[in-house]
Amino acid sequence: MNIRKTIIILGFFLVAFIGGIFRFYKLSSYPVSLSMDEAAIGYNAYSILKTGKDEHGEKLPLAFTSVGDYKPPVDVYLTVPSVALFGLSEFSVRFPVALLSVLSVVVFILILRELKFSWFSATAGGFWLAISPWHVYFSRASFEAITALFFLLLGLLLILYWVRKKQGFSLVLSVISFSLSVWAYHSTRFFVPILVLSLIFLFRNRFISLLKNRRLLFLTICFTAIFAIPFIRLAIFTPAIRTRAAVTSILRESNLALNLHNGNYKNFGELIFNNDLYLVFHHWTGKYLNYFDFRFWFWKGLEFTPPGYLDMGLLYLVDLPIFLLGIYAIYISKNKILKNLSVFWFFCGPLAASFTMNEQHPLRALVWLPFFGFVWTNGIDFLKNHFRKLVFVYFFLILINIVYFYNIYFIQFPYFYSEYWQYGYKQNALFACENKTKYDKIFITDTFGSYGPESTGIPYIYVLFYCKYNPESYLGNNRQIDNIYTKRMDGENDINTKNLLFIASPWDLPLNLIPQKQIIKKIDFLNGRPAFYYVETGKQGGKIKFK
Amino acid sequence: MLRSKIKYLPFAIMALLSPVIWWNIFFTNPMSFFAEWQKAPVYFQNKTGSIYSEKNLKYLDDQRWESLKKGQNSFLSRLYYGKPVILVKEFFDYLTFLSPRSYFVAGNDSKFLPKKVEPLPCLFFPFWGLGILLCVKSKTLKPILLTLFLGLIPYLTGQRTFPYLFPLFILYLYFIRKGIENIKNAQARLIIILFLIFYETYLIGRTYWFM
Repeated sequence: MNIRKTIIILGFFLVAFIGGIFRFYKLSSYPVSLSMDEAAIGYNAYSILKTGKDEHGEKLPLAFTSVGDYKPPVDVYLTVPSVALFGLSEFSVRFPVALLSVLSVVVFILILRELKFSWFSATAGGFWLAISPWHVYFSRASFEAITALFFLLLGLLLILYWVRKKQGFSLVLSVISFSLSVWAYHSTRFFVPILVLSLIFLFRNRFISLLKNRRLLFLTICFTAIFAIPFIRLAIFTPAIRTRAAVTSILRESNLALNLHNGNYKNFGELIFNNDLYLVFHHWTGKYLNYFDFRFWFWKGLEFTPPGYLDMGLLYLVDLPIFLLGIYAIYISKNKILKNLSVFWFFCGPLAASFTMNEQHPLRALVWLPFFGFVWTNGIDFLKNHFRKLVFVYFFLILINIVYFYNIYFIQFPYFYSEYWQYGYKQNALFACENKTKYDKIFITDTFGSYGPESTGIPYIYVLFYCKYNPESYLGNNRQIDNIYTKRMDGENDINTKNLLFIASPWDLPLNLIPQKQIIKKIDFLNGRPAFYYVETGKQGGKIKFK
Repeated sequence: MLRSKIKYLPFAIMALLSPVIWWNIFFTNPMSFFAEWQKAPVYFQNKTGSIYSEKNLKYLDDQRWESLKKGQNSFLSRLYYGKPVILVKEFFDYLTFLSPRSYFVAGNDSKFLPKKVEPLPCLFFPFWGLGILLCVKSKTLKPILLTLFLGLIPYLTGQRTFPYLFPLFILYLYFIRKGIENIKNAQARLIIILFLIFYETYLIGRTYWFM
């Protein structure tokens, strides 16, 4: 093997290794707690492994009811072998997505090669993705968007490969890959079809020639149908697909919903000048344009800290000049495929996210990430060709940015936002399971927060997860976990009933009225604020009066 | 000469029909502009004073990771969470004054902008972006540099009102014109211009209806 090939392969592995470090370092501990979704994915995977059914008793579902949010199935099924291998733990839940995230780096390098970048630039592009704060953040917490993005990138690679090499197998695999992307997350359900249509338009001559290859055409249609028909069935005949779209739609935003007329116009003038079509269009335009914001891209996009504090953008600060160079380089480039793909991705990337509630949502806009990768790679390519020495300056500066990212992610983020990751529920669940025989009933609150009862959790899923509750027993017991219940402490009756344990937030109970000896344990959030109090009622009952 | 002037006529009409332009020509007292400009020194003082305000410095203090551990501030933490970093934050605040959202989405309900409509029609946005790219490609950098320079005025006063933004509105209209002019097909260009003028007329009707 010659030296050049060796260097290329080493570069590959090095970049993948770096991506692995960014994603697997202290994976079980950061984020500081499993989110509700992670716990639900983990337990449902465990339930599938043990019984072939989800937590609701449905056999091998195509959408997981979970807490009524109908989770896409791909991540759950990918977690099943991980749980089988590593047991039910934080690591096993996060491992599959982290692994796919590292593989995304490899796929991205290959895409850049297909787009005619040199090996150096393509590997540099892979390095950019490997250390990307936007990608790394979501890769460490089992977010379905990462899985969807991996399959989307793989589908793109396979189509580019098919266009170049004319290997029919690649096209069939790309259909499977794109389909899995659609099945994996909500925003790709919108983005992938328009990406595919754009690719068909971009490579229309190639796709026209597909019509002459009946066998390949038949296979492509067959595999598309295999994935599309169940999806369409779910969308039409069940709430599985519609629910999430409806819950997150911009039509639910109060400042829009309150102004809509829903067909009831007072007069003709209102019908013309204040109609719902204009209102929705205008509202959507604001949300869409909000994504084109340098501060969101380079300064505050990931919201690791509250407003006013220094934060982290989707990209590193030092990427700003490279990004601007990249835009210029793409514009003057003669690479039509790269140019067209970049323009498409620039405008269509934030589309899916712009149709949902919340301003500037980095997770829902994750499909936009490849655009920034293409631009960055162009920028570094331009820099290498025209100002070679500055490339070294850039890599030195990126190290400084990485140290900053490390601090923001591992120190600031947990300090400010541990409660938004339901920190404390693991301890609550473990304590409840270890002590359930000591009490008649154990109640865990679902409401918590540092400064008020602002957040709502689903404690039962943490109990199921951390106690590795037998799914058969859970289903057989009508989804009741022994004597453990979800309930906020509610008044004198509760505190005076004998032999109960309340795991309550400071907002559930008047602490000053409860005898200190009855508060047996306290959990704080990582910002030092009280999170949960463990209050046991007396063995004989009590006579506490609340005023 | 006349032909070249006629060539710009549709763009002049489009500019005049932009809500932010006609509203300030016909419905705003010019004295309000002078009144706003007179307050500029006060705004400037408030803005520059707020950069290193106690509140901002407290945020920095909180974040120096040693502080989070209730220990001493290390050199590295003072480097990352030091006063120079506030300037970076201010740089991005400055960029928000150039952000398209301020110009193509609904105004801030001040007396200088009509209610419930965007200052520049939102449909102009893609042509605005195209116009900037064309300037870069043709190395006509003066309008871009002027935009960056004039953006300092609203930033340093902290005001997003028309008296401080109007030079940028004019420049943005220039970029929009360049973007539309780039449409090679004369028929398509005419149809687009007519459609945009129609949309602007709709916005006038909407503003009048709300009045």
